[in-house]
Amino acid sequence: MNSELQAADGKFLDLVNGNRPKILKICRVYAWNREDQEDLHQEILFQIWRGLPQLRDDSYADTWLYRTALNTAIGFLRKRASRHARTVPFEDGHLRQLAETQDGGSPEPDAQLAALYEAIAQLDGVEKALITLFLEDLSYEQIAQVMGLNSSHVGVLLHRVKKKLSAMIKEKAQ
Amino acid sequence: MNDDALKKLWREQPLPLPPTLTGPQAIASINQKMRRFERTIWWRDFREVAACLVVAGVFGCFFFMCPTALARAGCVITVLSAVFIGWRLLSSKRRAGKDNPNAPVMEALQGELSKVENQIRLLRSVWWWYILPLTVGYETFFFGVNRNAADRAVFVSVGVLMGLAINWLNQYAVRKYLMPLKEELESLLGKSTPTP
Repeated sequence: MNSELQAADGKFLDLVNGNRPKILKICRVYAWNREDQEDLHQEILFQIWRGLPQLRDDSYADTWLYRTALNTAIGFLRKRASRHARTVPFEDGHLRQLAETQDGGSPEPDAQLAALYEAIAQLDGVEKALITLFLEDLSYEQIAQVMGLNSSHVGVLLHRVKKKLSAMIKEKAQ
Repeated sequence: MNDDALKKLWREQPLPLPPTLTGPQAIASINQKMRRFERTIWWRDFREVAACLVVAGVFGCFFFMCPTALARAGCVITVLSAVFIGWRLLSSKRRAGKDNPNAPVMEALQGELSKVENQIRLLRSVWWWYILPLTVGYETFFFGVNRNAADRAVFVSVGVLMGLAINWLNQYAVRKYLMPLKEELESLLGKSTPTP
């Protein structure tokens, strides 16, 4: 019993530590400032811990982790939006977020990255999930498994989201 | 910017990674959060059922002390109403199902939508399953213990006004919070159906 618990603890730590960049990028996509990012990060860790007994086959760990993190993030976004009624304007909030979360090295946030995050911020929860998975270099098949859609539909949706994103980035650049 | 350039930009972004989680402290802290979460859920369910049990208990005792048949009938109606309300709250919660944060994104959203729709149904019909049975119960009880016409008129008016106010608050919550949430979820789920 004790060794089972220790195995679960070890599995959790491996999963979380091995996927820190993925989790952090999802937090940056869905949360508007550092404080919210930290809250969302904690919430994702909690949901991973809560759902861990359901992860029976480790070969699905990646898909499972993305599902858990994205579901938590979409729920978080909805709760925050209704609680704050978007008192932090998206644009300012996001630019500040990028500036705040730079590694302390460069004082100027990377303009292209800032433009990308700013454009992503204007997408809805599902579009954010799709574009994040695409940028994380998942195949259509893998995205379909995370989202619960079929691959061809993922292709259609991604095409639309990328078009929208590109238009927003261009508009911002002009 | 093409797809590869976007992916490169994404991959190479500077990330202030949180410290690596190690050892028993990290596990203890997450376990503590888990216990807090379970306690919150338990208390929430307990409060809903406890209120019904208190009402049923109080009017159950009154039943044996009431001088008139009408008052006793009022007690019976109130006790049955409280039991029915408790059952309705619990069964609707059970029907809505549990959260599944590990489900595919669209499935999890569908689950959320079902919960919101269930909540809307519950609040829209609050007059019939909550306010009316209780009001009829305690008004009947009051009529059984007080024969003064003026007192009865005041009590009925206050009871009806309270019922209307509770109903209005519930409908306001549906309009103000639940309908926008339902529309948002439907709009997100709209993407799961391919359009030409």
